[in-house]
Parts: sequence; structure tokens; C-alpha cells
Amino acid sequence: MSQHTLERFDAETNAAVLSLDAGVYPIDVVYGAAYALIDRAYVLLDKESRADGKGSRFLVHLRGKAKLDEAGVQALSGEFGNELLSQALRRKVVKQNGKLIEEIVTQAIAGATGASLPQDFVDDDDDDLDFLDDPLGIAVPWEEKFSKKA
Amino acid sequence: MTEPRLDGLISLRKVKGDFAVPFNHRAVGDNFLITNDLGDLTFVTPGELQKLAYGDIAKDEPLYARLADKNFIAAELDIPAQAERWRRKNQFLFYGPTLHAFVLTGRCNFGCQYCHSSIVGMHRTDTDMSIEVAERAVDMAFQSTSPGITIEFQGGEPMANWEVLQHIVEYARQKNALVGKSLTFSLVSNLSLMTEEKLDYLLERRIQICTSIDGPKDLHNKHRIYRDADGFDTTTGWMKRINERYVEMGLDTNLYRVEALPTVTRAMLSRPQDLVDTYVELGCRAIFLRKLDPFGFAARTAKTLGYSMEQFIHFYIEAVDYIIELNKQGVQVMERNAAIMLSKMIADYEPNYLDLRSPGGAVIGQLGYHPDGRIYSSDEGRMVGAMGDEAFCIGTLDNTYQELMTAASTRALVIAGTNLGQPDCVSCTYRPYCGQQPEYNYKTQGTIGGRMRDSTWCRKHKYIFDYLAKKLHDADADDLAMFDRWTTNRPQEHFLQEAGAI
Repeated sequence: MSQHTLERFDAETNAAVLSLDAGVYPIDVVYGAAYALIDRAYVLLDKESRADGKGSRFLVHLRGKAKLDEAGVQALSGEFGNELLSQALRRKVVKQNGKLIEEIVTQAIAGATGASLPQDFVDDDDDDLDFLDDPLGIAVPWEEKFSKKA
Repeated sequence: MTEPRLDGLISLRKVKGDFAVPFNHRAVGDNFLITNDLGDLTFVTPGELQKLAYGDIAKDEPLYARLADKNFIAAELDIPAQAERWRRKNQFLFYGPTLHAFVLTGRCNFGCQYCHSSIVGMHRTDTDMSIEVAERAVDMAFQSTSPGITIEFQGGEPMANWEVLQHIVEYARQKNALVGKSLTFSLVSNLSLMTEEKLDYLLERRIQICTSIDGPKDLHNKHRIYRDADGFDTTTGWMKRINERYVEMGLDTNLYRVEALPTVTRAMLSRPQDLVDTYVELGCRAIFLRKLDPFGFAARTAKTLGYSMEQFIHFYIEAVDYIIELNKQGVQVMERNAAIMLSKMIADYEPNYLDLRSPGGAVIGQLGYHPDGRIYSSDEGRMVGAMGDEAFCIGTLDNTYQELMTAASTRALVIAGTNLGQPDCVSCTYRPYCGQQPEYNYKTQGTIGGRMRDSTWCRKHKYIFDYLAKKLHDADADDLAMFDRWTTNRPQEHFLQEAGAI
């Protein structure tokens, strides 16, 4: 089976059905690609087992918000295919760069919420920020502080 | 001309993976442009590229020193220095939104055919921002962790709600006397409601003034319809008056002029030189060639005013070629897209232009405040909202700042606006200098991630980067001096509110 197929198009009901092998794309990718069509069509997703019992396929029911013709449905189908590939590839790229992306995004949001500040904004001359000061003796070891003098 | 090709030039079996730092390449003329993650770039011949890939460059070769100087040779990388450099260029990651766009009203007295902001008639005072909302919005803006914030007055025509504009300025200045941020105000106006008294106030309060000029008079008046008078004469008359006042105030006229922006329409495509000449005659030192965007009325009028990206790029190149020609004749004028991109490419400077950074500026770089208290990811997000789609409304003034910054939608927009998560961007030669806008992706392709391969956003920026890369490749000393002028960052410190001023 090809990756996705235009199963049928009914001009009278302005509806079309696309199908694709459920083994090719993860379900999240199918959701994402179908979502990209909702400004132009009403979309319903379904899944059915293949007649030979080997595997299953997703069915994407589309009803055009505006009047569709054969060329319009083909274009919609093509765009759905492109979006499937794009979403699948993005998942892969995000997984590969996941750690880096996570660090950048975390830093960006932490920066925006005040969880961190750039070094430039810390005044080096401010005595209050001298972390080597220890007026309460917190850094003094317990043994040293409380041990009996010899 | 045939571009050089990698197949036949590089054998993967011979590549020495640890010799060069990770880099991307793109053919420019007979040579290759190479860039690394740090934002360095240089041009190499096909033979030099092969030697770099194979690690076949002796230390005493001039090529070794040239590539080491540009941080392409792994063994020569000064990692602490480069980490510091990365931090400087990505400083925007360490603080929150700097730009706060206040939509003071939906009312406008101009009927611009492509209007970006979905305006209403002047009688609709119900669309004005109230004093209460204004104060709460200022309170929200001041909670940003950014050490500097800009409050930008937008509309509609923001001067239609003059009392609230003044109130915001006074209230924000009072707050800032305690908080001490670098505070600036910016007014985006058609200037038709300007009076000498209002101008006195704007100048006294150091409010930067920006407007729109859509080319020569006939084109401007065709697209920016004003029934009360000649729109072009009205706007340009005030531009001249404001510039005169800057002179009277003793400000450096190279730096302080009314900023104007054109929106490029189909009718303008055949007249790039007329557009540039109009700006030069008005005394502008910069032109920001903006393509029609897919928001607001522009989406609805695309059939009559719109054009393909290729047509825009053709126009853009003609206009910038002409600008370069004028520079050679001693006229000082530049194009803003080019200046921003060149700053990143050759000046090692990050101008924090919110549309061309990674992650993009949605929420963490800017917020858009609707008159009724809704808050959007950006001005573009607000325009999507004006079209009846609240996808980019991240909250209201009833939310706390922390809630807005940590919302799931904020996180989604930041991830979507990160180049490392985009299939095409991740391997693009221009990745260190580029960025994308989730709102644009959503409006044009249906998802905030978009598909860069067939995105007009990507095509536009890649075309311009290619154009600039070719200019750099072919540049002589005079060209480089011109680009140096375009990329010299001169802060407009006059517009900074004085610390502690009330």
C-alpha cells in the first residue's frame, strides 16, 4: 500500500476519504497532519483492520468547508501527505536535538520568569553578594564549631 | 553559471569528523559559504572545503590560520571565550519580554486596504482601552524580568485615545522611578490627529514616533485612504515638522528622525526606485521593506493587493540594489532587513529582532495587550485574534505574570520557535542568523511548527540571505565600509526615560 491514498471523493456530499497504512506513521503524526487541514475541511479520523487481517489502516474522512472539486481534493490530499512527512521528520529532529532544545527552552522560560539572571546584571561591587562571607558561621564544620578544646 | 557540487568533491570515507567544528555549507558563486553554530562565516573554494572536510590542512598553511580565526577548526577553539560569546549573543534567553504592544483602540480614521489590525470606525469608542486596563497592563509589563522594556502604542490609531496614552506614559514613568528599568515609549501613528500641543508632549516625554509611508503620493493615497484631507501630505507634513523639532532640540539628525515603514503592495512592485526616492526625499535614513502579511484585512485583500514571494524578492533586490547605488553616490540610506541580517552575519551583533531569533519572540520577547485586557503572544497573535481565532491569546490581565510565562501554550510557542526543532532549519547554513514566527506558520500552514520547505517565510528569508551572502562574497572595500555603516549599532539614548524621572 502506498503511504496515503485518496480512497474516494463524492462531489455531491463534498466529502473525501484518505487512507494510510497505520504502520507507517505514529498516531501523533496523523493527528498533527489532520489538524493542519481543519481550516479547510471538517475532519474525522477512523481506523480499521485490513481485510486480510494483516495490519490496519487509518481512514481520514474530510468534508470541505468550501465546495471541493477533484483538483481541490487532490491538493488537500497532497498537503496532508506533506504534513505527515513534515510532522514525522520534526519528531525525529526534536528527538535527536531534544536535550539541547529542552535546555534552551528551559533557560528561556526560566529567564522570563526570573529564575535566573544574566551575570551582567549582578553588581560585582555589591558586598551583599559576596558569597564567601559567612556571618552566621554556616560553613564552619560541626566538629570545629562544637568540639571541646583540647 | 553552474553552482559547485559536493558529490564528487567529498568522499564520506575520507571525512575526518573531529577536525572541523560542525558547520553547514551553501554554494555562493563558484565557492561555498560555510557557517558554524557560533555564527561565524567565511567563503571557501571547493578545494578548500575538501581540505577542511578531510582535515588535510597543515598548521603553517594560511588557510589553517584563516579557518582557525573563524572558529572552524576544533582543536583551536577557545571554549570559555566562545561560551561567553554565545551567552552575549543569546542574552535574550536570560530575561522576559522587552516589547509590550498596547492596542489603545480599534478606532482609526484611515481606511487602509491591507490594514493589519482589523480596525473599526471612529465612533466606536467602546473599543478604547480604559484607564483601569491601561494601568493593569503597565503593571504587567513592569513585571517582566527584562532590565529594559518598550511600551509601544498601537491601534487602530492610538492617538484617538490620547488621554489614555498620556495616562500610561505618566503612570509608567512613576512606576519606573521606583523600579529603574530602561524604559522607552514608541508611538505607531498615521499622524493625522497630531497637533502642536500633542507634539510638545510627545517630544517632552521622549516618545519615539513611527509612521507608515507607502511610496510616492499616488500609491500612498491609493492604499491608505483618508477622507478628511490628503493622507500623504498630512503624514509627511508632520514628519517634516517633527524632524525640524528634533533639529531645534539639538539632536543628532543622523540618528533622530521619524521612522517610517512601507507595506509593499502589488502596485508598488514595479516602482521600487520611486519608493526609495520618496523615503530619501523625506529625509529617512532607513527603509524596512515589509511584505504584505497574512493577518487582518491583508488576508482578505490578498487577491487584489497580493503577489508571490518571487515577485516580492524581485522587487526587494531591485530596491536594495538601488539603495546600494545611492550609497555609492554618497546618499546615506539603508534597508532594515539587510541591516539586521548583516549585523548577525558580519558584525557578531544580535539586535534581538524578535522575528529572526531562536527561540522566536512570542511571549518571552513580546506581549500584545488588547483594549479589553486579553493578552496575546505578540502583535501578530493579536491580529489572529481580531480575525476570530483566539489561538494566541495566552491569558488576560487577571492572570499573574508567572502564569503567562509558564503556560503550556507559552512553552509550545517557544518550542515551535526554536530552529533546532525544525527539519529544514536544523541543517540550514543561515540557522545561526534566522528564526521563525509560530503565528505566521499557523496562519499560512495551519500549525505553529509550519513546514519550512514550502513556507513563504523561509523562502523570503533564504532569498534575502542568499542575496546578502553574494554581496559579501563579491564585496570590495567600499562595499564592506557601507555594510559596516549599516551594521554599526548606535543606541538612541535620547528616547530612554531618565532614571528616577516622574
